[in-house]
Amino acid sequence: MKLKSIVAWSLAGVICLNLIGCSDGKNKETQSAVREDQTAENDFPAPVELSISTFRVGTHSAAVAEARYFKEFQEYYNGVDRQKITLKVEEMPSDEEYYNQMKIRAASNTLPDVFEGKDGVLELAVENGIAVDMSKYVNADEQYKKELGESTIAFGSDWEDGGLYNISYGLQAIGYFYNKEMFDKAGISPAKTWDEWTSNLEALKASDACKAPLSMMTGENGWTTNLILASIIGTSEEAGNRFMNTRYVDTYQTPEVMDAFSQIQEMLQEYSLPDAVGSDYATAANHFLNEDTAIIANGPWMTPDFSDPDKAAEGFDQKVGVALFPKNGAIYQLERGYSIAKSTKEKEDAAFKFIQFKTNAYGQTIHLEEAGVLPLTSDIQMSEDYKQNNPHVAELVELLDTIEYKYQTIDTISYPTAISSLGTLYPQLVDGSLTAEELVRLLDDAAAKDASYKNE
Amino acid sequence: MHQREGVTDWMNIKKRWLVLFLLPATAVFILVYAIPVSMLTATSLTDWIVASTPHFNGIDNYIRLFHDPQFISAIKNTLLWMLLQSTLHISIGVIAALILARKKFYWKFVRTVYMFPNIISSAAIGMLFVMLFNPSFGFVNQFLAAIGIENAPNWFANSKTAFGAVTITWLPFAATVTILVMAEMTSIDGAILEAARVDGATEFQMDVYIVLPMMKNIIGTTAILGATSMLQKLDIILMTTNGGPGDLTLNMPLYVYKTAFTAKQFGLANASGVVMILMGLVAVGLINRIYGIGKKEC
Repeated sequence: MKLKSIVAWSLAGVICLNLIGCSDGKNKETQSAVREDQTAENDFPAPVELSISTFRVGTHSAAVAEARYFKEFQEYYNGVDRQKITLKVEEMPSDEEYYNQMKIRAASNTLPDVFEGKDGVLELAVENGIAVDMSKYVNADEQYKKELGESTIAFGSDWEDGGLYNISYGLQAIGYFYNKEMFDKAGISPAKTWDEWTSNLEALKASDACKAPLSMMTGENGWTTNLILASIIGTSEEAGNRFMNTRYVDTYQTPEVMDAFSQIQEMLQEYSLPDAVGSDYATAANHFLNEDTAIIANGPWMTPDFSDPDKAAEGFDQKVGVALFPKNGAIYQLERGYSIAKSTKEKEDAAFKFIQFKTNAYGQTIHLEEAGVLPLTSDIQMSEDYKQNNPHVAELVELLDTIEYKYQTIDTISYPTAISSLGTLYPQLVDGSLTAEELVRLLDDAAAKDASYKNE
Repeated sequence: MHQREGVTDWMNIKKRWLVLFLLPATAVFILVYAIPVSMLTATSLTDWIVASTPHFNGIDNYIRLFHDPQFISAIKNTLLWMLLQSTLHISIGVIAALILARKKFYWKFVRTVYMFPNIISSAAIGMLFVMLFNPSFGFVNQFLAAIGIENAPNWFANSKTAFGAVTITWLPFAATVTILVMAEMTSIDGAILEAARVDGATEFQMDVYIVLPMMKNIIGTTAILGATSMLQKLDIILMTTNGGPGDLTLNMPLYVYKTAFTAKQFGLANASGVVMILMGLVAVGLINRIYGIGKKEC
């Protein structure tokens, strides 16, 4: 028995020694590789590797732009100015997943070097003291400062200490797209008032020009539906407009919001396809692109789809018109953009170079051309070629001069718990088991569940 | 006396080896389950929210939970699904096993086809049912329209049908139960069945009076697996209804997920996690008692 024990322990020992030996070997190999690398780069400052996470991959509308940024940035900083910066990119399947993860990382101080600050992420980072104030970088570069514009810098510096913790990458201006052929068949033109909007929907429904007038959806974050909701509220005189420009609203129990939900209830019940309730953005977009519906509320990033043969019939782009919402209203807000997580000086400097690359005049042009994101200032002009190839974006930009009501998205002004809850309340609003009054009360309850409720 | 000492030595050595072999599993259990569950329980007694230091707040989280109508709905829905899964789901699986055990010409084909939903990922099953139940182009409503039933509901988004629609995505697919019961059936002594056959018992009588009583342990075990699986269901609900309409299909895992990752209330989420663990333990104890699992028949 003793012999067996000795043999067993000896074998275990040999295995352990082998494991140690293997790992030691690997370490030695790694160390030697690092030494060789350092020798090769001897003439340069130490190379910097930036960690970045992105959800702009796959079928995301900005995936092409994102890939171009990464490629061109790494090409540019591959030895230029004696500097080498490489990117370690982590891909996320969706923006929801991205922001969920970033919140956890912001709380545990493990954010990537460059991160996006929507959905409360930046608030957490600033609160934890791990976001970098970029004022010193921006103030040191007058040209870049001009390219960003004053409003962008003010927007990114809207913090108690005035620090510039975020740099926006584009302007979000949203109206709606409509099918001109269907409008002609129904004998209507884009509505100037919400009453006219309703009569237009009725005319479209009666005309048989489409399966349903509106492309709406309540799944995910209810994007296309909530844009119309925001517009009804945002154009409801001063009170409604103030509500839609308030960050983290206290209560949804206001006459303007209740009236807006009543109108949305009618639109979902009477003027949308049966699958609007519960479906996702892709379904709503497909219905518009397949000419099942006449109207979809969405931003200019959708315009490339109109001429994409995989998504729409040939010539569909010629049929599409763009309009502001009734009463000349439009979603008009700067996008919450990029921030730097505190790290070594070298990394922070490199991270700023990356953000600058994405948001300077050239970066804004890439965003416009590849993803339909409007530039931060009117100084960045669209080329004639671009206007010709993207008439809808050009038309929208022209329309922006006539805006009477500017407001933000429901997502921007709401606590995430309220938005998450809204998606599950819409079905009850539509099947009649919930009234608009009950819905807004439940939204208030949902908002109160957010950890940051009234702590902003 | 000498022989007795030898036996004692042997027992001691055996015990030592037993301890040695159990050590890795015990260490993994402590690291992966015991420590996290202890931390979960400890932090459930704090006011921990994202980006904050937890402070002890007694049973405040538990009081808040039981005053939250959504939490009550989540508990009710989860309990109902546990009940359905440990009764109806198991019955379907057992009946399928009894039929397939007769090994008619079709049995291998049916067994394989029946297994499909169990080998496809839950997310894919969720997407499949979203498509099937789509009110515009889904097969279900088109079929109903073809047989003259117009205006069929939007199954996942209607207050009256959502719970049933979600339930149907997993309730009938009991192939795991079928496979386990069929495996256990092979251990029945053929002589017993042969004797019953000689005595003139029909196939049905043999199933009811001989096979099923002998399957008691495995049926009880699958009931436990079925009930506790309802404490893990998240992906399909996320993909189909996200807990809606309202909170009609909200279950405990989704409540925990939303409380932690949307509301960022970690202390509260952990308290609901503790309640969920307790629900699982009670379910296991109850089913064990009902089926008398492990007890020998007198």
